[in-house]
Amino acid sequence: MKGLTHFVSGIAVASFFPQAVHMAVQEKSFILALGGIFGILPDTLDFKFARYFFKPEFEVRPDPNNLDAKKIAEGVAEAVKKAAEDGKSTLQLHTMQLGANRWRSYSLAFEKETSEIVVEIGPEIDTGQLPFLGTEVKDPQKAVARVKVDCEFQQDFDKKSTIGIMTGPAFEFAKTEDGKVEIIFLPWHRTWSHSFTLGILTAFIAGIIAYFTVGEGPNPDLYTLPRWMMYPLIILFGSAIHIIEDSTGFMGNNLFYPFTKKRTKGLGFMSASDAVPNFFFVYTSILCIIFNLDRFHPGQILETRAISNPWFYWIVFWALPSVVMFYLYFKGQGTKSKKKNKPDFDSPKMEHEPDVSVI
Amino acid sequence: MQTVLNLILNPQYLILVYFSFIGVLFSLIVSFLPALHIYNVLGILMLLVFHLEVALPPMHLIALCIGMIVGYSIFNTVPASFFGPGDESMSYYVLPSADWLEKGRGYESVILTAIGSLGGIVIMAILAPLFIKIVPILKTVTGPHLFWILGAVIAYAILSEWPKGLSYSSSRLTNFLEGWKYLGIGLLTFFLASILGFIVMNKTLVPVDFAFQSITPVFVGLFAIPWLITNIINIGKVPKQHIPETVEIDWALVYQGSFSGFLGGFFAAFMPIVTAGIGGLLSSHATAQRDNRLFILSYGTCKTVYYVGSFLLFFIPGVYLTRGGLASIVSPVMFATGYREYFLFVAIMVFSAGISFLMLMPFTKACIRLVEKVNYKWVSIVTLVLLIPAVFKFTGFGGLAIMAVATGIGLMPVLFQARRMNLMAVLLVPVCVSMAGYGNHVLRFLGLI
Amino acid sequence: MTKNNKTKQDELYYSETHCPSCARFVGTNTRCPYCQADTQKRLSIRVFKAISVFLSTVGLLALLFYAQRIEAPIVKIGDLKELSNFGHVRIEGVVTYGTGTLNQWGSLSLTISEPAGRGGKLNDLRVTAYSNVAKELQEQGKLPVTGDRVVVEGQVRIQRKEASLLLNAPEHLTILERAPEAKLGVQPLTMTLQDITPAYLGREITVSGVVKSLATFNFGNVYRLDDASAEGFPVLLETKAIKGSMEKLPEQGDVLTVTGFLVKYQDSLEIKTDKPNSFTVKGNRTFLRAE
Repeated sequence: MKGLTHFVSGIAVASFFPQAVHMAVQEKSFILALGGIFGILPDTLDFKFARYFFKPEFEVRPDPNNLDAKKIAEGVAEAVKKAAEDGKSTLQLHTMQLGANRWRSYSLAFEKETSEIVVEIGPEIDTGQLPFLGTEVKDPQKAVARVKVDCEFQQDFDKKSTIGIMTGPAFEFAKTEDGKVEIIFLPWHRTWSHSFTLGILTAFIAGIIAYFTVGEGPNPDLYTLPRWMMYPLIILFGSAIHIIEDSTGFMGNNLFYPFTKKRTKGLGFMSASDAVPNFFFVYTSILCIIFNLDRFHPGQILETRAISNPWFYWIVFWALPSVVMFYLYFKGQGTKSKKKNKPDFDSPKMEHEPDVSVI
Repeated sequence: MQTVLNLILNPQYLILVYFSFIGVLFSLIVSFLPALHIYNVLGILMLLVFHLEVALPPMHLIALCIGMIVGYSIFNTVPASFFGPGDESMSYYVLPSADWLEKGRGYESVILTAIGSLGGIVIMAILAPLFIKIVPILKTVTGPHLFWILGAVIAYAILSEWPKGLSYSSSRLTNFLEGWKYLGIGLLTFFLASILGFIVMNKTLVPVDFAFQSITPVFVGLFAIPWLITNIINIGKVPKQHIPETVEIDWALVYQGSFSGFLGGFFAAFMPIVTAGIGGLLSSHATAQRDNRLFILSYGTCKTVYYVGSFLLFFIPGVYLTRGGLASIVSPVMFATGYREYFLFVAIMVFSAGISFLMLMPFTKACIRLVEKVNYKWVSIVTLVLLIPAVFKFTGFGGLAIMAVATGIGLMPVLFQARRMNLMAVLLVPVCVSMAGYGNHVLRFLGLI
Repeated sequence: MTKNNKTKQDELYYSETHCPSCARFVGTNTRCPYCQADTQKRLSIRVFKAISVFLSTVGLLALLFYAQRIEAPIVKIGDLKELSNFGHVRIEGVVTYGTGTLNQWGSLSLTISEPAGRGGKLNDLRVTAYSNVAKELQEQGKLPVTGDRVVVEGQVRIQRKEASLLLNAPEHLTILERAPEAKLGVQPLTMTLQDITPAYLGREITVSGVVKSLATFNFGNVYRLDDASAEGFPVLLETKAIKGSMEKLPEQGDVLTVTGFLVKYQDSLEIKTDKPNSFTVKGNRTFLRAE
């Protein structure tokens, strides 16, 4: 899922605590925003820190001025062979930047049936990954290469990885018990940062700090939970909702790192980059936030609520648009049904800012 | 039927059409000079209007303002597109509009943006009756929470900026520093802009007679002058532009882009301080937008909905939301009226958008001809030469000092390739902190109290 | 010629965006990420980078230093125009309405006035402070009362052509002179309606009069007492005063005796009270409220 989806979901989860809403209104507390911050934090940790901790043993640095698919494929094969022999290896593929908005793409596939590594040099593309016509490599010898390795591949999803813009992807190759080489896409992503363990640990630390620093608020008798407990709970649920949302995609999470060693398989309901599911989560979260802010407003009773008819609210503003969204989503899925099992590589995309007329 | 006819054929309404048309024409002139913002010009216009007030009935002034704001939201794409081509030696990314300009498709880019703007106007016109019901509810529910929502927007803006760089080195530390260099500049820009915001929002360094526009030198410095300077030192080219008969677009794209842009624009219009840039960023993330055409189109919608929508909210009967620069400028002399005026607003808005769109095409062609004949740098030089004395004239040395500092901060993200959106901390942070009740603590720390 | 110029520009563009050593695209990098060669940019970029760093750091500090030392200009209430909106100014005047207490939302609202310079007329300005500032003022014992001479600094807000001032820090209120009543505990003045003049603005006054007419609003009732003028002298009994009183509310013909502050409302004078026991009613219709 996109960062914003996690962020808004985190706030939505926090808004389910009436005491947190009261704290926001009565004490001008930013506690609800805390849910959003911890909602996006797992991705922040990965893309701002964890990716830099990853040290690849092999790196493939293709030269855009001397394109050769075979050279790339051989570089990958070398890493795979090392894994087959030693049990594990890591690989970083680099991109080829030609201009601020121009990149040379190439793709990498691991063919299970033939145990071949297939590399194809693609066209030049822009940052939106749209190809420039007529930029394909003309020489087939240089454009496509197949290199056979002496091991079988094990892969969760059949996917040709396209290496195009920004930083290229990393792979880990691990030998399995039955002698195959498992291909792990982005080994540094969705591991420790996307574990419930980290959420619990962070919440625990925040809980200790809050216990000693957060005093009693107004009307403590109204609440079953002490006020200091709001902080760890919102942190815990904020980070948990991120992990749960990510699990709906194809790439799962390492749920109880370091007690679990591997990422789970995702539920495969949708791809992290799909527009409709992302919007659905954001929209639902916003509706929840508005609803909760209204019903949990201090001293609020149904008669004084701005949303005086919850059924109307949920049917008109949630159920009906959701039907439309799902219709659009499944209609869209139908048109690209061939593209099943897309991995959800939720790396940050090249992001544009608008021109000065918009800022 | 007779009521409708009376309404349509009433000469008192026809004069509103005249004033909105004048407003559109005025915005066309303003838009011709890059970096000149309609709010700044409106401020100067208000100087005159405050004196002419007796001669200009409120509804005429409203029609004039609607024409200006609608026209500006559509026309201002043109100078932004043609007078600032992409320069890869200065910009980490080339904006989609600059990219299209480089491919000779600047005209298409402008038209696509304008289609987005029209989409935004149509959506607003359709939803206008609904706003009367929904906006008061939103205002009631979110009113006590605006401070933390702004805080959340700030947090997201900071957390969602990802490191740039290719990470090509074998050294992890080098790659880390490369990526964080950009983030660091972004954070520094954010911090400096916040400090500047606390200063200018709590001390009036400009003459009291121009206090209603005291933020002008800040925005001229943060956005206008850095843009003009980068245009002047730009070495990018404006190639020959192709003017096609049709634009490559389908209805699905129009719906998708307008919808996404509307969400961002409405959020920006409804929330205090949040601008179209931030709203657009949020909505593009919410709808997982990737296509460049979609980007161009939805930002057209977003900025129009932001500019016009924030003014529209000011007229919703019983709500009286002062959002956006224009509502703030005119609030001393205008105030929310009844349903009739509200729907008149909507009608004038639609009319102004139609007129603006029709005028956009010849205007764009004229600009294309201009950049073919005159180096675009000269347009920026002329603007700069006009802008700095104008700021001095109205805001004195205090304004000039603010503008100079703001220029320094505004140049940082441009020259060091960080997100320019961090500059909005100039308003976001002081307002958010003050709303939360911590403003005086910061001001005491800064020695401003 | 044009062609040559274009070529030169193209060459410049290429040299600025590509590594001179390995010829790969380097964009904005000043060191080639591929071969580590120096790829410095043109002088203009370097100069503006230096200017940017200087202005945004040294310039900002200088601006902060300057801002710390300047004081908001003292302006006259009458000089506040639409163009002063959002300006930070200081106003010196006498509090013509100030209860010395916070309102039900915990915020502060008072009116200050200054002589307009002709015919004893006053210019007045509503000053408000949000609850956090009001609370600090209360803790510091600085809540102004009617009659205080004060200097207030704040942000001018003009809406619907009405000016007001937002007091945003307790430090921005200076009480130059406390009201004589506050200092000496002076009793309210008892006077006739005819004797009331603007000179008594801000003073606590006790008057009596026959109710000529009355009007009910959500903030209280306005009674017009017969003072021989056409419209009568207005007395505002605020809701708080009415609700907390045991008295039957006056009706037309009753004699109302009230103790309240003389304030200015629009262009006329008015007696205003929110204290429950500040009025008594006598007359044909007067009787104690039934328990």
